[in-house]
Amino acid sequence: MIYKKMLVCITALTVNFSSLCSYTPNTFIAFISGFNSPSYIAITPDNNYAYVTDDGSDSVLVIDTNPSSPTFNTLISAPNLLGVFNGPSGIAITPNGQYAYVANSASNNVLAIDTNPLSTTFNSVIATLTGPFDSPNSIAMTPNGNYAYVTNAGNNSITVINLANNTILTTPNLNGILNSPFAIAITPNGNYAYITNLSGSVTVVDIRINAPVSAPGLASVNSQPEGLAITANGLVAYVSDGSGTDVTVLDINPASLTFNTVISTPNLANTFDFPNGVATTSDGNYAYVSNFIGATGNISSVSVIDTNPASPTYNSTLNTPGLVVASPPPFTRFISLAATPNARFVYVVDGFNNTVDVIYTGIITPPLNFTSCTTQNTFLLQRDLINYLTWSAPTIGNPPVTYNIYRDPALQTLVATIPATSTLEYYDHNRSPYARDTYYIVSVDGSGNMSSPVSTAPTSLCI
Amino acid sequence: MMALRSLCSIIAVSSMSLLNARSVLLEFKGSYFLPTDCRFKTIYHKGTGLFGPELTVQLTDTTPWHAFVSVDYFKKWGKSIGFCNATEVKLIPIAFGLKYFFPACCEYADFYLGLGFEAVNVHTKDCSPFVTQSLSKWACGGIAKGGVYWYLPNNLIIDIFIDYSFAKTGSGESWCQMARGIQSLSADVSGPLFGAGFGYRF
Repeated sequence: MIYKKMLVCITALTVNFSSLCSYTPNTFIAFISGFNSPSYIAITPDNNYAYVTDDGSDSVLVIDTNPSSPTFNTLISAPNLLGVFNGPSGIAITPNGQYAYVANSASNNVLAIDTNPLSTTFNSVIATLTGPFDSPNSIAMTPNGNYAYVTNAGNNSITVINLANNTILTTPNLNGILNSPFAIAITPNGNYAYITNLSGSVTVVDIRINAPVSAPGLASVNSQPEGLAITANGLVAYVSDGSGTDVTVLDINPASLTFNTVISTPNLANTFDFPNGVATTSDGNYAYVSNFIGATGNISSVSVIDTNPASPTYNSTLNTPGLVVASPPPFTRFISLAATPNARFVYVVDGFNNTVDVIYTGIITPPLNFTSCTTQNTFLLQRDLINYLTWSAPTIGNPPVTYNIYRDPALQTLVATIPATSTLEYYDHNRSPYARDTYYIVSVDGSGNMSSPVSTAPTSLCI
Repeated sequence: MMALRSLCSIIAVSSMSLLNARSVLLEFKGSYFLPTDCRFKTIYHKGTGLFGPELTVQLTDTTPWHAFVSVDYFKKWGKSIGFCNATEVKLIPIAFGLKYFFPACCEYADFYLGLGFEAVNVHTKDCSPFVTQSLSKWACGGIAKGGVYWYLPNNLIIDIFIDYSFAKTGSGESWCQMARGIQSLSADVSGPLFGAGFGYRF
């Protein structure tokens, strides 16, 4: 839950975003031009670069996505990636951020780009992988970074790349198992791959044995499954209906009795407009869905789904008027989108207006490792009983400016406000041994937005 | 304050009434106080000097019993246990009781043993914003004394002594919720004193 306290922000792309600028959550903050029919996008794990396949120029263009950079949200020079592809389509970056793999669909191969800024071949194609590719269109990496799974729209198969040596695995069980594949995603535990088929189904592959899994419950997901994204906890997948108005939710929890079936989500029916791309945020609370056409015709929009099971609006869309692109430009058509790994921004590919549009999510997450213990300060005639609290900064969402510590779950009794620049600890003095203190801490960003709280109760003596 | 005033009155009256007795000894003594309490030692480390006057008056001109009264002063800085905040303690022990003089080997010396009541004013200044910065309590107990007087020419005396003070403040480890959750502690200010005095024999 984000507590909104919005401030107006002037777009200041050349300043330190976190310290000087605050935006309204779920609004577009930049429209990056310079593309020619861009299609897909992938963002490096360090949140610093976005790689966009540009079908019209047969290139991959690179966006500076580091808010601290003076060239934030602009294209950076990458001359070695211009015009060297042939119908670039899906793109994925290895978990270590060293390489990007591009499905070069018109040439039936996959190209590897060096994405390590410290490398001498940074932003150059360093390998061309050939093999049983047939109109490859989407790629996903296993979480351990060992393999890449490539869907082939031409022969409805999956090709597996061994990323250690860029060789192709022999996987006969993955031949011909798809039916017009569109997107692929791998579960966070690395056990399963889910592939949307434009024919209406979702195919499940057990990637431990590289064989399809029988999933009759996913034989008819919606009229045209396109985008697919899995939540951070790996329990649910969201699938857009590219020719309809729905987003379908799949139960992909192997421990569930309804594993690999569609979950009933009436609040997500008839809510979208030819949705295509889906991206889940790393905090697990939201899914962003790009709507190809939009509610009123010649406009596109992005919808946000509450994916937090603990939320009262779970599996409903949020009211996000700031994510409708009205005018200008009049003929926006969103194609796909990707969220930065830290969930601060979502980059939306506008294939008709040839831009990549940037959404500020406003997500702020609570601090990590919030722990406590008790200690004392003893003088000859008196003693001060102290609760010692410590925590670490969250890695997802907006960088907090301060942390607020409360004594109650309703966040009414403020104990202290600690600047994020100071040591992340607090000594609560003059406590009673009879009190059962519980502390609640929230992160607060520069606009005053607060994260959900996390709590701790000191039960042991500090060592 | 009232107690101190009463004590002074008693001392004055006793001294006046006994001025005609055989022996009146007034000395200024210094001693080294070695606290025995663990918390006291941890905060204030080793002992330190204790200074003050002591008046000893023979009860009658033939008895070996003497009355004594003394006031001392002790001050030391230390660091709190936990956060190492600076803290200062001042002790003002006020004692009175009886001494018994034993004949010594020679006429210019007397051994003595004594026992008396002792009240110690314990005053602390604690440099932390989270506790009461200035506190004062009374510790009550007793004192045992032993030593030897050496009688020098011109009625001068030297007192070599070993005392043991045992005193503890009241109000044990209770929590005073009215005072912001600060725990009140009792202080044990017991310990031996090794010292010497120099004075005059009237």
